[in-house]
Amino acid sequence: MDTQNTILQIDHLKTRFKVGKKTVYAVNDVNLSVARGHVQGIVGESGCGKSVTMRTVLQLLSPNAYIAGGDILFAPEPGGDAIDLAKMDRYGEEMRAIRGQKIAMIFQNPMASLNPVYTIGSQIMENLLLHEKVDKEEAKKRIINLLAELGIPEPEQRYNEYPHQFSGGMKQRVMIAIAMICNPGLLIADEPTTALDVTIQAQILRLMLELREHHGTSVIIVTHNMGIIAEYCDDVAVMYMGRVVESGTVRQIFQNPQHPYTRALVRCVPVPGMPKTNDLETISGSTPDASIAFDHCEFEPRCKFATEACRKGFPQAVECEPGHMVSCFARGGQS
Amino acid sequence: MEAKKKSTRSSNSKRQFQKLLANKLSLVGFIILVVITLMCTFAFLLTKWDPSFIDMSLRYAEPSSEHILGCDQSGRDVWARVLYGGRISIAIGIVCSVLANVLGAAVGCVSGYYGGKLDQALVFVKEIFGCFPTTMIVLVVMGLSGQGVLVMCTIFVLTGWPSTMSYVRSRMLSLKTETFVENLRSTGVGSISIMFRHLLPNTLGVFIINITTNIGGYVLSEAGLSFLGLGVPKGIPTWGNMLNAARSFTVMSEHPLLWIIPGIAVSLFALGAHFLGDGLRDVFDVKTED
Amino acid sequence: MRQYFIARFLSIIPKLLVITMLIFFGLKLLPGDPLARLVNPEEMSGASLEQMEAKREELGLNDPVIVQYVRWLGNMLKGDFGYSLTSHSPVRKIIAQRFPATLEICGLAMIFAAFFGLLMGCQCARHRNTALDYGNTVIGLIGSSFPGFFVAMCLIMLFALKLKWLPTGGRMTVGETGLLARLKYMVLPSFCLGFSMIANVMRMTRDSMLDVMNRDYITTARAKGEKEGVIFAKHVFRNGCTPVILLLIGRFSLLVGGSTIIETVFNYPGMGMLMITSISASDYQVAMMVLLLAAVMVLLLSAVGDVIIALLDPRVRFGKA
Repeated sequence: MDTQNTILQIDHLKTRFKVGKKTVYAVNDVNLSVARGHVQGIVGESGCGKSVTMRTVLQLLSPNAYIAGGDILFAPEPGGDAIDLAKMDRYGEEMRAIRGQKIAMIFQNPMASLNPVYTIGSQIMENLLLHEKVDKEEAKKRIINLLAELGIPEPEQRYNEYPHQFSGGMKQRVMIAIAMICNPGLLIADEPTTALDVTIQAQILRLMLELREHHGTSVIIVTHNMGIIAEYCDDVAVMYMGRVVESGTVRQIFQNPQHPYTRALVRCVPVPGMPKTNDLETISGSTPDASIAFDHCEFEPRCKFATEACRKGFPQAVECEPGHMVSCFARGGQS
Repeated sequence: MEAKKKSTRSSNSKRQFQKLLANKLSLVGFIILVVITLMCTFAFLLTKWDPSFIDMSLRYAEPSSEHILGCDQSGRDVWARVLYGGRISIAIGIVCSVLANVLGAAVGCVSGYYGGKLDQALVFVKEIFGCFPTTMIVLVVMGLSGQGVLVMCTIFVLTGWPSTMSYVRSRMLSLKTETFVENLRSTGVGSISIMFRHLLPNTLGVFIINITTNIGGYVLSEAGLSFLGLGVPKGIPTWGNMLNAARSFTVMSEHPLLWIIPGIAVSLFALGAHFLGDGLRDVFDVKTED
Repeated sequence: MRQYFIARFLSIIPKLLVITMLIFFGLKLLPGDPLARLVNPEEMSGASLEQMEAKREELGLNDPVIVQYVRWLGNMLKGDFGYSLTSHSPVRKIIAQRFPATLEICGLAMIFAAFFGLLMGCQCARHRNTALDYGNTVIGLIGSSFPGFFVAMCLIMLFALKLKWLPTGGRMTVGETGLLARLKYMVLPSFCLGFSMIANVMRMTRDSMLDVMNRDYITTARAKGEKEGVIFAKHVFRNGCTPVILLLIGRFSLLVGGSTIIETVFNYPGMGMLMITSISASDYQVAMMVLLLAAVMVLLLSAVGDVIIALLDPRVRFGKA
């Protein structure tokens, strides 16, 4: 792995859930590499395993979930050694030292992500004191500075307030403050704006771009919204049924989508100025049951271009142009 | 459409029944309850003695082949008294539990559905009831009115409704805001019908759980009151009245069998009810509420 | 904050009035001459009918009921609870002796139930669906199924009669009245009272903790790199214990009710036993006052409980639930 330019590389990751006697195959074979200093988007329908993949990175999984194979290589320093997060003990000291300090995460629902009984100041402080030896006065100053940087008005006063006194957008800013207080190398935002108003969404996402500018943080944004990908990301990976089916730069994916699924996704986003007669594309059928293991391409039942080969096995990832990977036998249906 | 609804409902109850069987604790509880109830109901098949037959020559008789658990302070057969006594204790438990919960559900339903002043008043009454320790009210009333099965059951029912009431009420408060209620109203379904036919069945899980657990609770209450000599009149054999014998220190220390046997009977029965109730809680997936 | 406390304590006044009214009318409905319960019997012994009528007039027993109620309430506040029919002494004096005894065992029982209920419930939540979870549940259910007085008799047989470690009953030995010396008299009654409460507390603790453990903010805490044990103590427990505290306080009236039977078994001179003896002797002035005191105590405690919740949860404190 090229640790100079890559901060995170996921190889053949598999995550499964035991639900009663059934096994749910949430993440089947994810290969993904996140460039240092880039904003990486991950897009897919709900239930495609994008959130689970990201939670697997920090092993923030429910007790019935387990990693069935693969590696998660993380390189905190450019040029330094990469460590395999997938091999760590979920509750172990090594993993805990990564969480919150090297890799931070913010979640979909800011309303429920803050503990209602502690002040927001003490909740940010908790993360800082866990990973750095600073005295409380110093820590408080740093927190207030960060709150100000994140656009929270009257930070000194807000420091001592409780979560229920904050609006949704403000809560998400507090969550970002918790995540950023230790200056992590990688920030994972799991659908950070899905629960927020559209106007607030843009503010929060722009804020994350600013953080990248000022702190050099690499960012992963998980979303089901192609518009967010187009506007805020450098690179994008498209996931379907626990697999990355196509990845590349935003330009590559939007201008030259190869996988039939990506093409459908790109075409179901309306573009301003588009002739009204153009129909938006829809994808027929629905995502199959994840508790049944597939022996061939998962998209085949919904694919217009499926061939005999598609029913026989899984397509390998092919580099169709530099940095643009696609896993599909039909390759966009031109064949 | 109707047929489909029926089939999902029956498959749902079938699934719940399977869950119940899978829950070993509740299965054990269920078996205990059924076995004890059957033994008491068919007591005449298991003993030839009359539970009230006094034979002073057999006072404190040791267990023998004739009297397998011996005889009590009046020479009555202990085994026969446990079996026949269980009939009344269990009957009191079942009747009081069902009536108290029906009353609670009805009051809670009306209170939650109509809301407003009526609701406030009923909640106030409930809270006043909650301030008095139930056992103490029962004791005072029993003391004033004199002992009697009917009086005791009446007080049990009148003091036993608040917990079911508050659960049903809070469910009603949230249920009545749902869209399907709006639909029913717009199609002209009356309030009474909405309340009792469409909303109340949603609280069935807790209703069944409470009835099960309360059966155990009332059997325990009867035992406690009769133990104090303030419950069922002395002449009627019940588990509590048998335990009452142990209030004499001589009986307690010298003839432990006389109170250990009914004590175990009461405890086992209550245990069965609590096991079953606890299992049902998982089956219906209900959170504990107070 | 202070506003919340004041409002909470003011809100018990209507209930207090209704409770006292119920007791007042209960007393009115009692059979027998009310004069015998209200006046020092020594004063009245040998009084003529005219003297009794004069006394009745003086006490206002012929006044309208409402006037009588208000006067009665005033007397209660002054500490005049009437006279016992059997012992001929003021009820206030009798209760003053008995009240601390009951408070002691109920308090100890509460501590016992709270400690084991919370401990076992947390164990169940952290190790759900394991042998520990099932084991604790079964122990708790046994506790709530075995009648307290039956457990009491079994324990007296074992610890007092066979092993002779603890006394069979009573409250203290002559000459040894310190709390520590009394403790050995309190152990068994408190255990019997508290044991029946464990199952409820444990179940509530388990469900409440499991509910909190699935909340998003627990994932946030985990994402900070906090240790599992710290997460439980700092984030889960703090949020999960509020319903348990409410339950404990709500169940205090059960303890007081249960004390009637348990105190009788242990011959422990508290309010519960006082109630039983006075009912058996048809001395209802005493019984009603015990009932009133118990109800007022439960009412005050519920307000204290809400204050504790407010201290623990800022959402309640700032009036936004």
